[in-house]
Amino acid sequence: MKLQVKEDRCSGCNVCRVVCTLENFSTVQPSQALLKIKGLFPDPGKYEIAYCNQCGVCAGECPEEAIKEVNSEYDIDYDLCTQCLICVDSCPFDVMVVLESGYPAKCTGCGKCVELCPRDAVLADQG
Amino acid sequence: MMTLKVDVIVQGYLRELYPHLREKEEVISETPLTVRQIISQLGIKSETVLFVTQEGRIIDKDYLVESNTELVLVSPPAGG
Amino acid sequence: MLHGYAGKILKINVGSGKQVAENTPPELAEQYLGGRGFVARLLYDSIEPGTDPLGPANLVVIATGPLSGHLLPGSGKTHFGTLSPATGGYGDSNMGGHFGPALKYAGYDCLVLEGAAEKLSTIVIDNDKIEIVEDETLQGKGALVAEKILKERLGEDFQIITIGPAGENKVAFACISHDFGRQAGRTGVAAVLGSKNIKAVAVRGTGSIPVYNAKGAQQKGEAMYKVCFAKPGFKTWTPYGTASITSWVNEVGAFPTRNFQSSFAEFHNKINGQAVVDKLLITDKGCFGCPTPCGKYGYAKTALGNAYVEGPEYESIATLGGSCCLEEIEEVAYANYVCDQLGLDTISAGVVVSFAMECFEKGVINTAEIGRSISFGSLDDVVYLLEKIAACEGIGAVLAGGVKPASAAFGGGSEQYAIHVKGLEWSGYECRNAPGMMLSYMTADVGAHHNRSWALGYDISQSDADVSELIKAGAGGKMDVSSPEGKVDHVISMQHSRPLYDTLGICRLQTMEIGFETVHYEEVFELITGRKLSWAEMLAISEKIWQLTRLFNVKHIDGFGRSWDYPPRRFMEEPVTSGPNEGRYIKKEILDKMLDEYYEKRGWDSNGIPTPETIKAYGLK
Ligand code: SF4
Ligand code: SF4
Repeated sequence: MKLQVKEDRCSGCNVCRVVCTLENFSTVQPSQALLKIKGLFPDPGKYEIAYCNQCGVCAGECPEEAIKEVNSEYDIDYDLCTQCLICVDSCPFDVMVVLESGYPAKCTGCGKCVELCPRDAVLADQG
Repeated sequence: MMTLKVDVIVQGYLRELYPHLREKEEVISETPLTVRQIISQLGIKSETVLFVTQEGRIIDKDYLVESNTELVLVSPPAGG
Repeated sequence: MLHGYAGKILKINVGSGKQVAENTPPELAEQYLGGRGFVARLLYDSIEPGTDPLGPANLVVIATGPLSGHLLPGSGKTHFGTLSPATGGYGDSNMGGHFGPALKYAGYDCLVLEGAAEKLSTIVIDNDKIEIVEDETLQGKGALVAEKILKERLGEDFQIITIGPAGENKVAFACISHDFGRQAGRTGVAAVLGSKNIKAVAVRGTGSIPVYNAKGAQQKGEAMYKVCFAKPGFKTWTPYGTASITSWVNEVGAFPTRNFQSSFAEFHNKINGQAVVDKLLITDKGCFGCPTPCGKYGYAKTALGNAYVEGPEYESIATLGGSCCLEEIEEVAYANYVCDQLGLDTISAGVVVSFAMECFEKGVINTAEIGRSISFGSLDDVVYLLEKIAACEGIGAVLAGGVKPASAAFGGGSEQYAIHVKGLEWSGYECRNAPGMMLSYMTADVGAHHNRSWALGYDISQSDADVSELIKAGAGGKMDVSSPEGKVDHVISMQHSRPLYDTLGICRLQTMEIGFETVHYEEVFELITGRKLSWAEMLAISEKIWQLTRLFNVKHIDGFGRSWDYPPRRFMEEPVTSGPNEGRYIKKEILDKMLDEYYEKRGWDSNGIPTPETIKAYGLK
């Protein structure tokens, strides 16, 4: 699933981030979430959502060609990955993470954030 | 004769105050009723209801309710 | 391993810099759950009688609950506790936001601060790296300004609590501020932080919390959110937040007005939930994990200035709007903003300011003492007094102790309308026709706070007048008298159920507002902690904590007993001046009858002291 966001609906609850790490890494650890919520306070008083839009920049930068497009989503092939982490630095939205194992991780399009966002601020991109 | 049939959602602190009520109650009447009358038919004192909504909009407690609709009784925050 | 918990309690002596991270004792978790339970037990065990609340030997305990930081609705709550400088007894305050979850991800269930730093400092907790950083450049900075500076310096991913100038100056009702609009307002915890020279605590937690059954807890957590989404109140209550109650409280004649002379304000429609949405709102802003964000973040324009501000929520509307008579929502919001920057609890601050206004009206204090004349309804005067209080300057130095010591200093009969219990100012519900709510305020462990038991709805449900009909029929409509019969049991049961949320580390509004069922918490608690406890068993723990906080007051307040459980004489002697409860008050004899019944049911003697048998029965020492 490809994501889109409506930032003005976000209330900063971080439910998206908690469920993201539970679904993908079986842990309650929002620091490892594959999307980010930033509150702009006190002024102008809004939230920004950084998320993976499957732009594929990481795939283009990967020297091992370990990141591949499958059904318009990019997945990391961990058999090919050498942990160089060039992809993590290349992400224009800074939403890739480095796991404790040393491997990079990116949004898998699981859609859990869409399912649980109480505000419909993270949505499936139908377009 | 027209029979009035209204679903009423009772939730939150109101269920604590009126434990005999279920989350969804049905009110049936042979005569037209206002929101307030419907509330009292359920044995609820209308002052304990913070406000009432129909299709997501707040409606006046003196509004004459049409049939086959759903009212939601919102309870006071009960001391957040 | 303790599942669900972070596993450590971090104790820092901010004077010596000594830090110890101890394992969270399993028996503490078992017997007191967390949050408020941890606060009460740790304070009871660690503070000696005779300790000065503003001396280095006092503690600030910041505790999360077993459910804080997990995937479930409302899991963002943090509990603060201390020997209160406002009451001299048990003090605690609950706060939403993101701080507690961050503390858990950093590895700590609980943070205990003791000692006092020599210079103004910030505690920076970056997972297991802890530093106490002296920083006098933050001195006198507004609480929100300081948070912004620290966020920019340390990084977005730090969660920060700060105090304002009021906390630095040890004002008895200084509040802790977080996330640009969340506060731990009550009982003066921030004054104690100020006495320790701690301006801020910043936490970054990048770790995880161990979960007993991660897959099961995830599934249950997801299901819990979906239950919330399906509740009809999810879409109807959320847009208005707590301010939605304003007009209702007024309609039932419980809205404090003119320092609680009346319980009815003609101008309620200008300062209610609709006014917040129409005139101020920029975005909904919620706590960690919240499906129903009650925070209404907005922008207020007034003659005095413009401000971004979260709120005002109901309590601030009641005390700053109602009690001080600010008749426009923008003015209430601006006064709220001034309190937030200065780091003053809006509830106590509103009551203290309106008290000073009444004292001036009655000639108890004069223009020379105040520095100008003041009157109800003037935003300018409200802000003037708030600034004096935060700076402890002139009249502000007297008011900074709260209405109890201020009325003792002013004399002239002002004790009659110093609206407090045990030294803590009354929050937003006037009770002269609400005996159950009155008893709730009288017997709350921290003083006159509403969130231990909120019996107002019960009081109303027990009377049978149709108030709105009466009001519509013309002014002067009266509610029938709410009888004290049968109220004690309701109050007691609420005093267990409400604080239980603070013990688990969760928000109660999902239950109170949209009817989210408590059985879900039982189930998720078991999946997260691996421990099976029914809601009833948890309530029994909450009941034990209630006994413990009473014992704390007995231990620390000289001569503590029944005389500490009365409301101000105004509520027992003076009739309400207008509105549906005009003419009403509750005689002391009636309150005494309720107190007798309450004490007996609690297992306390006629002076309100837990008997040795009671102490034994609860297994307390
Ligand atoms: S779940 Fe939705 S509302 Fe909550 S932080 Fe994420 S995007 Fe914002
Ligand atoms: S309802 Fe309000 S206090 Fe409760 S979790 Fe949501 S935002 Fe926080």
